[in-house]
Amino acid sequence: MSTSSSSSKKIVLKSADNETFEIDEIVALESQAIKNMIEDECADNVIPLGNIDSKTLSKIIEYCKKHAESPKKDDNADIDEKAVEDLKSFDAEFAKVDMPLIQDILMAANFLNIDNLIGLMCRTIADRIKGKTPEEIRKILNINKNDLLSPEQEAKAREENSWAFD
Amino acid sequence: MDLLQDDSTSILGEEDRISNVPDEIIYRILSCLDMKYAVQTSALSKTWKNTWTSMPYLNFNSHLFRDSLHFDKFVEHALSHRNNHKNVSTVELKFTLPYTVKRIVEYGYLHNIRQLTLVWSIKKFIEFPRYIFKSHTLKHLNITINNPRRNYGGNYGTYLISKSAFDLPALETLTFSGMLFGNGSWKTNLDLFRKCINLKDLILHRCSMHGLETFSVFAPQLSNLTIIDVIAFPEVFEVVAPKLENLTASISTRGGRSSSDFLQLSTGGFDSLDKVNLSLSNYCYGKDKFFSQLLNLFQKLGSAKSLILNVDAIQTLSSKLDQISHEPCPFNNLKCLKIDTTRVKRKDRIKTVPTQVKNYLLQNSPNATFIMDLPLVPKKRPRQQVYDDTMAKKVAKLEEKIQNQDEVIAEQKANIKILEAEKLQHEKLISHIIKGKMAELTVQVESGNPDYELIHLMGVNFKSVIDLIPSLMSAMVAKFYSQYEELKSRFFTCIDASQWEKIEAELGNLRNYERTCPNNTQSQSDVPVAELPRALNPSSADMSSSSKG
Repeated sequence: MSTSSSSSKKIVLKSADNETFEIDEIVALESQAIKNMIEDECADNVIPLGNIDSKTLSKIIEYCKKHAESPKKDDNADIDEKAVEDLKSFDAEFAKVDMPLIQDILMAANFLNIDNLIGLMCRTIADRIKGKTPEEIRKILNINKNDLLSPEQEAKAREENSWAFD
Repeated sequence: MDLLQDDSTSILGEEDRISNVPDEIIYRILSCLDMKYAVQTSALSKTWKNTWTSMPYLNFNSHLFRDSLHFDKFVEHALSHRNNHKNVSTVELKFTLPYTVKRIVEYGYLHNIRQLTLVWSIKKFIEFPRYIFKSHTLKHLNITINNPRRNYGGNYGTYLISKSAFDLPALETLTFSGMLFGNGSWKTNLDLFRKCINLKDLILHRCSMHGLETFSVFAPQLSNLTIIDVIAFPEVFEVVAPKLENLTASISTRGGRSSSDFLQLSTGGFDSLDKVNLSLSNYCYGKDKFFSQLLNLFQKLGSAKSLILNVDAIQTLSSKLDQISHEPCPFNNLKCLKIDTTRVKRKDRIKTVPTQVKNYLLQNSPNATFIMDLPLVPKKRPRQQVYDDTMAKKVAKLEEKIQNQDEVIAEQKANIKILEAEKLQHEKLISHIIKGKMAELTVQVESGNPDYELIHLMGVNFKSVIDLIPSLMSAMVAKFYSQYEELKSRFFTCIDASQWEKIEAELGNLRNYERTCPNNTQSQSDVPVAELPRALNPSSADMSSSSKG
């Protein structure tokens, strides 16, 4: 996945399944972690991301590209508004993926330290579990069956926190 | 990491991803939920059982509860079950009654709160609680007072009259929306920010400082000051902020009080001033209303490097061209002057800034960039433009024209919508009033012993109601007279002709009045239509008949 655009500096990311992604440095800088690596000059030609698969990584690059291209806050108030709207609808579209991928993106964004993306994924998860019953939420989040409370424990937890279940 | 593309959720023993997410992230997810739902996650699993108790974000929304009693009970439980050793970073509170708020805020303040957001939907008129303004850890404070009835003249809201300065030394950003500063009594001084030595951003939105003699902002670190949609200004807005970089002000007060409708800064001394964004709204005044006040304001802002003015401000400056050509230029060295042409109605669009005004603003700034975005009219060098009619330019011009027309159509559509809504409201209101008055009149007539003084008053009322809204007048007049005639047809059953004559006289000869008005609903187009923008777009077929100009 190479882009032939400008002469700007390129960064190559390598996913867990050994796929490489060449991106503009400016896009990579959306990740605070990569930014720190570059600033400390410990970024080699290729940055291996052993815990992020290519499907997740390509989504993350899509996000970073859009956010890097979008004009940052500057004096032009009207452009700001339009750009903000544009980003908003991009984010809304971006988040329309299944829960496992959302969680993968969240983990990866946390690893790469992309704060906006962490926030977006957190909001998305919150929106999906809002107002749902515990049973529904367990299913949505695919909570490990070994982690479940026994019926007695759950009854006790509900009893203790009954004031929140009115 | 597991790269299973199979997203089936029922694989036993598969590690669930969410359990691997660090607590901080889980807290962030929970922070998007109301506290009520956050607590409910305790029933999810062992991992989740106690997660909520350590989250540093507290979101309380009293509107989710049946009544304040249930809300109070919930708050008390949540706070006492929470892990007392964990700090609170953010508290967000949406509420109506203030009682439990103190408990939450004080809990936050005890736990090194950094950010507090209060959204208060208020149905009373009371003093804003002062305990809010005492914390040594709070960095961000955002207070929004929602007063749903303000637009209807209801006397609801909170006022802040504290004589002592806020004790918020760590505070960096402060936003007030909908707050009344002072309690309306005259000649009060308010100096609230003196101890906010780290305050960098101050936003005053929809606030009123009515009746205040001075409203002082002493803030050594203040860098951004935003004053928008202020309802009433104080006599003097005293800002001492040597590090002020950005000043944004929109001046659009609608009241007629001369001392409180404009931003009057008492001092200058803004050595770090970079950007000034000023928008005026010549709402119902003449364009020259704020002329001298605007010039005074500019005097205080001489060090600004970039200046953004809206079209109304330019029109104000242009209202006295003779005078402005003799005024000394207030700005020492502007790098950029921008005319903000967004949100300008078509009728208010200006083609160019008069030379005198431009000179006044830019005399001392030979290198300043002048920016004025206009969809229709070429800016900067209009004379050169005439000779520059290449094909591309023509196409561009046409495109601009089309875009411009689209804008106009959209604008007019929006106008019509507003008008229709207004019309409906007025119609409802007026027919209500007339109905009520008519009922009173009926009672008088049917009593057989009319109170003529009362009827005289009713006549005055009828007239004033009918005069109220010219655009609706004919319809209302027609309605009125049909009801009136109906009543009249009944009069012989209760009273005699001389009594009726007297009633008519006391009502003030409304029949004569009728003759001066259009006498049926078909001739509505003759009615002077108030508040109706001229030149409504004829293509908009959905407009009501009374709006056709």
